Amino acid sequence: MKRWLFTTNHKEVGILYLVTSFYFAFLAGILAFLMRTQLAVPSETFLQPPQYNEAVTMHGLIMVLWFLSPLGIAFANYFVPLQIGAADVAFARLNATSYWMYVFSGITAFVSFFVPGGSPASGWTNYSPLTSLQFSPGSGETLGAAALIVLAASNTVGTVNILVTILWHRAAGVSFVKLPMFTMFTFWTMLQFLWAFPSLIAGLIMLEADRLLGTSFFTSTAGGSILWDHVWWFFGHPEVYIVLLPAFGIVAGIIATFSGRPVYARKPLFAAVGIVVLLSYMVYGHHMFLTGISLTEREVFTINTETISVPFGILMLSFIGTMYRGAIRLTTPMLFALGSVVIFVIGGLSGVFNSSLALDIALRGTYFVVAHFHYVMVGASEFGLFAGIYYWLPKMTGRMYNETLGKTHFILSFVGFNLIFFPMFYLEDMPRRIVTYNVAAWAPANFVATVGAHIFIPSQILLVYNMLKTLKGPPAPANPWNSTDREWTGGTTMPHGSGGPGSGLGNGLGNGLGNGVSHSVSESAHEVSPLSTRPILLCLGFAISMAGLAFGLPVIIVGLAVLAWGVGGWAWDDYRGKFRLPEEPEGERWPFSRVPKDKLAMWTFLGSEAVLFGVLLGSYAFIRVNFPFWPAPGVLHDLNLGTVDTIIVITSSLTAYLGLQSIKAGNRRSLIGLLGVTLLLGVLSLAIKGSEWYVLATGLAPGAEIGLPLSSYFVTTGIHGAHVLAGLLLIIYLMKRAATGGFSAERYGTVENFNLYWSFVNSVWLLIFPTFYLL
Amino acid sequence: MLAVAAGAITIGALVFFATKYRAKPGSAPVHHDENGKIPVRTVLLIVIVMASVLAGAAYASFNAIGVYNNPPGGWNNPNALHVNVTAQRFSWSFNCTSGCGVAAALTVQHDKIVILNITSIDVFHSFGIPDLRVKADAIPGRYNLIWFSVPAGKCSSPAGCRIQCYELCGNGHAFMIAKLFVT
Amino acid sequence: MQNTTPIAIWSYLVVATLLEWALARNLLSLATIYANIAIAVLAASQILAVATVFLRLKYESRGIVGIAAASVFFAVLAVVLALGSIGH
Repeated sequence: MKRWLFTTNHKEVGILYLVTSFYFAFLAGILAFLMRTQLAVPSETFLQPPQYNEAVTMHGLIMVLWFLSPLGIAFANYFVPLQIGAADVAFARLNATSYWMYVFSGITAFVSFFVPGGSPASGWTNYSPLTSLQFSPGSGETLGAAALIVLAASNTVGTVNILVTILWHRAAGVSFVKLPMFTMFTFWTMLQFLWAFPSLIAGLIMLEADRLLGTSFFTSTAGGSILWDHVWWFFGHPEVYIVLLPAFGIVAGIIATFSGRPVYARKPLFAAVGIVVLLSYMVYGHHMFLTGISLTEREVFTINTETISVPFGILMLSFIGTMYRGAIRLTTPMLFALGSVVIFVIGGLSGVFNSSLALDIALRGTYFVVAHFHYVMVGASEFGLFAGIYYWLPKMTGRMYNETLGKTHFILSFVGFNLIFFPMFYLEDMPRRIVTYNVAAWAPANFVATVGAHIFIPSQILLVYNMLKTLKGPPAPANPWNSTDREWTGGTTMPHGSGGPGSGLGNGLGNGLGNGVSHSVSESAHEVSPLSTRPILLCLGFAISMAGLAFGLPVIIVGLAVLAWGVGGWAWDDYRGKFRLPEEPEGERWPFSRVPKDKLAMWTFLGSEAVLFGVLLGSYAFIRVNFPFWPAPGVLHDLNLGTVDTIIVITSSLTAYLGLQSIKAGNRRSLIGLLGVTLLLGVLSLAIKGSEWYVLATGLAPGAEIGLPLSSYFVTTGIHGAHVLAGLLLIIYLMKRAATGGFSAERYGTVENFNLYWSFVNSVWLLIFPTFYLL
Repeated sequence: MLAVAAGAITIGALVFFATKYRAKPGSAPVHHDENGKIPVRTVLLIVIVMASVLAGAAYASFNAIGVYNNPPGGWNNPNALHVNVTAQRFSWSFNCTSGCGVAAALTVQHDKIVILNITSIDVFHSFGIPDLRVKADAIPGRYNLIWFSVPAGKCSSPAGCRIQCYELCGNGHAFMIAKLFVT
Repeated sequence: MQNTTPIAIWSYLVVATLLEWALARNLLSLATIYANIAIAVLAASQILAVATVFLRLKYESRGIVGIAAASVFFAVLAVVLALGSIGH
């Protein structure tokens, strides 16, 4: 038990993710079952409107964010290191951290069902102003948004980890072009995570501020509602591809393996997925066609959305082309993979209808849309992930699953799924998210859909049963599918597939080692990862403090205390050098060959922070352009004080940089001194900020809604200030470490990374200052 | 139609390949190696075909939206019926100068241009008349203008045509229904 | 003189800030729109300076510059798409 709570090993974390995601799938599946039962016949009263709205909201949120995506992450954790020949992921404890944040965020979301007012009930899209305190009283929405913040943090941490792993830990011979399919798709997915989730985080911060502090980001009639649309969908659209792409990575690999053919058009495929990632940020307006945005933007979004079908066409070409002249074995994984492709074709084509700004007038908000996204998300994504489960179960457990049960599961799922969602294409008049209906014409389709649900949902039990049965099943050969992918062949540092021992290895092991599971050098290293108590503690504290947003200040304080204990313990471990993993031999690192791992991680993290602040400042700009009565410069904020503050900030960047230069020259005392000056300057800057806040806050009428200019000021400088505070705590750690000889002319990486963070935070201030004070 | 054809071809190819190239039981598993050649012509073919079809779809869409955005006689047409539609939780109200609406019912005339000015006084709703393919979001603080005209024969039964809300707005969302009557 | 560059950059940043302050205070009697553009350009130049020297982008590998550039691109994209939607 202790092992599972404190593990940092990527395989175990992968299994934790997998098992946990199934619990959430079960929960969301029950909700779907209830909904379909309610909608089977007209004017049913099995579920009351509040219950139905909670069900439809949480079903969506849990399925997308707590099931599909984490299942993909589970596989990424387990198999990306194996596929690229790495011993583990880049940052083992961070990996455990992202898992525990995921779990605790899910528990928090689940708890929201039981608070007064119930869980969030405004749709998974959380449109404003329905989510405001006025229209969603009670703490459910607050708690739900808090849970989402923790989940988003989990994903951000995990993204940095897996990206650095793929960029930095590839074994010799695993160049970008030769990346195995699943890793290649996961790489692109991680880039999407990186730049999409900050938008969600920014939006949730603003939403919580609206609900808890009385700000009016999303409730003002000066575009508040539309602002949420922009912020949410800038995240939301890439999110749905995040859910889809790992599944397609699995499908691509499976089709190649079970056709016995190389992947067709591999380089165009690589480029196509990259194009999808880029375009995915530029199509989100198709969710907003009827909101009254400018015609030009609607046309742009139509064109972009239609364009994104083209790379998907290349994907289909690759999948099907791979099968050409192959020797196809229709095992359960292959069936699910092919099923996924078939369903995706239907779903994708229906998406083209939705992409037209004209056709969408008829289709918006109707069951046609529901059919479309379930086709691509359940059909394409979930079936792809199921294929992965069957495919990799022998690897993860060393035993073989029952093929008959697997095929039965496939048939029931495929038939059931289509029964549920195909009729919905014909319900293009029926609005979404209605608890009941009284139009007789809609009844037959709804009834068939419910029948389908009653087949599809229970048949998932077959999967779980099969998985459990496999734990006691017949031992599996090391490479039962005769794949040449590295996770099966055991990952030695051989040049890829050139007919040397590597290519014989797959066949040899498959035929020779009937009983055993192969253990190569890198695999035995997996067993070495130390346990650590810090991640679970840290995450528990973070989740509790976020939950405290709904439960009150004492809970926040308790959470922060636990968080501090976890973080402090982690820093202490680092200080003492207690958590050490064996160094990996250098493999492929292009284009980061001369970049240390930690620096790469810091830059990746800063990338996501850039989007976070971009969205915060962009929201400010949006509000300001829409709001006619903005105070002129100098009215609300003291120009002189702001200028002095800016100069202090600039100077602190200089001192930090000089500190870095001095340690590079070996001068430890100078480093400590300059760090100390930086600390003082930082404290001074925060003090100035605090005094400005005090003046502004005491000028407010108690209980009144905070106007837009002040709302955006407080939240933006608040988030920035939190970043400054974190930086100051880092300085204290650095000073202590430097004082005891932790840094030298050769070892200054942490100081350099701190500099990156600090100067980034200061650059953001250089944007905030003119925006709020001067313009 | 085109979509069905495209889908049929793609899925057909998949099923065809799956059956035609089925492994014979007992045959040696083929070792798959990378060959690195880029099938440029095939890729280009797919790209060009898809791009052409989609361009056509976009063109058609833009034409349609041109009609949608430009009521005959303009948005200030004095001969049109101008209606202010207000959405609220959970009903629709209609206001115009000529007495066209009572609670939950809008009455218009055949073949006459109706211009709707849609807004909401509380949360995000969406106004839709499915039989006429009319829809626009009702957003607090925003006024969305759309127009339509009912051809003879449509919506003329005593039951009229349905008006319903197409964006989740709370517990009464399913019951936010109004009627369009045509004289 | 290892330290000239950072100090030179620092001086530029401070001067730019003072210029911004002067523009906002209308001490240079420019029309507001020009003053605002000048402030925006100055701020952008400051960030570029910090990025190049303090963040050492000048000396970093192309991969890192790529991450930085891509991130800024997406941040700006979010803002542009939101602002571009205004109007009918």
